[in-house]
Amino acid sequence: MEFPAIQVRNLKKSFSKRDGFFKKSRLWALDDVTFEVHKGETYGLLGPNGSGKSSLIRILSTLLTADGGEVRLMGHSLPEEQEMVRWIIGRVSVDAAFYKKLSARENLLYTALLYGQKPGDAERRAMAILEQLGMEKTKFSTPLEEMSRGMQQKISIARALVIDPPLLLLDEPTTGLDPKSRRDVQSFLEALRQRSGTTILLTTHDMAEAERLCARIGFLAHGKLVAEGTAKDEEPIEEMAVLEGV
Amino acid sequence: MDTTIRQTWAFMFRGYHLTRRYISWVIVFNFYALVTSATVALIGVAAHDYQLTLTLVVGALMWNFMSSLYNEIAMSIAYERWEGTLEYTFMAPVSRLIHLTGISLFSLLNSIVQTLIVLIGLLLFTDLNLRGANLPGVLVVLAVSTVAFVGLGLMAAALPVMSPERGAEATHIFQGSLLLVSGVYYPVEILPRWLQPLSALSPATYTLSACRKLVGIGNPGSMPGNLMGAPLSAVMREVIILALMGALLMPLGLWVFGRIETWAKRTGKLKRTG
Repeated sequence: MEFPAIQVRNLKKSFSKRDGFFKKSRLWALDDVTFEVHKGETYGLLGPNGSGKSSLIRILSTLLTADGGEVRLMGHSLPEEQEMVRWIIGRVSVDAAFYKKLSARENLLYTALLYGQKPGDAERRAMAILEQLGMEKTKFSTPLEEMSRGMQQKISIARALVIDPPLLLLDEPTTGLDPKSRRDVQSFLEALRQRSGTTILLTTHDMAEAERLCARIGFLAHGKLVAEGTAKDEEPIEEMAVLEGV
Repeated sequence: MDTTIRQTWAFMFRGYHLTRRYISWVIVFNFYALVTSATVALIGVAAHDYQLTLTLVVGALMWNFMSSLYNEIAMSIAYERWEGTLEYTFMAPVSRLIHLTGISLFSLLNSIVQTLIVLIGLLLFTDLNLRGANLPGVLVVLAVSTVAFVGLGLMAAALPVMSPERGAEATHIFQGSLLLVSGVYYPVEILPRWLQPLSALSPATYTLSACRKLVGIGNPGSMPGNLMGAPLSAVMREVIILALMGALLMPLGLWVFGRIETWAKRTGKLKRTG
């Protein structure tokens, strides 16, 4: 039976917030969110800061436990089948978190080993990905701390792809990049989807980026999915974006 | 099986390259450990008391080994929080057992190297001659106590998962408390009476007690260059207690870590960096 790559139903997540010494209140990060992403589709989630985009990505990445609702990735339910889910997802976060003293090669090989891959195969794949992203081979042995933010983010994308995941979770991957690096990343993601049929969930602040890369776009505001449509049918999304200041 | 070996190797690979890249800090830490140990051992040399010197040397070496092992394991999670990589490690398809085994194996190798450096350094500062000491027995005791210290380290490693700032501080408070109550440089009997029961709970107390007997400390027949180390059978009580502590602390450490990881995922604490 064919199932969606990502199936999210009535997802809820709240965080406890302290108001004074004794008083606590609940802050809803995700409130009854429902959507689906088809296999091979690129789905965009737009929304302002604090709208719940990163919490959603963290839940899908098995790093956060939802309060309620249902999440299935490639048919595997979370959190019950999180061990299976971890084999099939790659994630890129807004902050390129690495061992900054280690080189790109060392960071990528560490990730490949964590996923049980042969170091030689992983190294060849990582080199190919970095070349497609417009990085010079000579940078492969440079410590991450000596690289620009754009280069670090490209390494971050290579880290997510070196394990060849069928499902890619991208949390604002181009935020803070210069226009050239942003275009490199966007072109690479377009080519990746066409070439490998990778399913991509992309969160972004950038309406133009969502229109370029995504077949469908959802708009998240205050933890709720308030609008959903195709890139062609973008009027309601643009209205929401204007209202929320995105 | 290949996958498990590669995943375990990942943590050794990471540890090796981080050590290589932070080599100047590694040299500083080893220099400090050596100088601290030599300073303590020279108190015995100044007193012209060979037994006291040996007591202090054994204390310094054992403490270096045990504290380094505990500290490396306990701080491994804190280092990941500082680097911001903890989420990527936690979302990789690696069981927590393999993750923590990999960390512990690297920490063990690191501690052995550090202790050997301190031992070689102490030989330059003191007129040590360990002929007659039961060194194979010492290695057996260290091997048994390693399990207990790994268990303590795993429990402490969970603290930075709870709080990046306070967690790292708490691991050092706990380490300092072990130094105080375990009789590293003095007999635990001189501790205030209210503190002495705590020494019975520290694995280091039994490790040190056993190692000193095996080296020949406290044996009136032990002379410089001709020590009368006890046979392993003489320290079976300590070995059994250490084995029991290891059997309890290792699974307890994994359990505590697992519980705190679950809590951190519920409350969203994993995303914070220190």
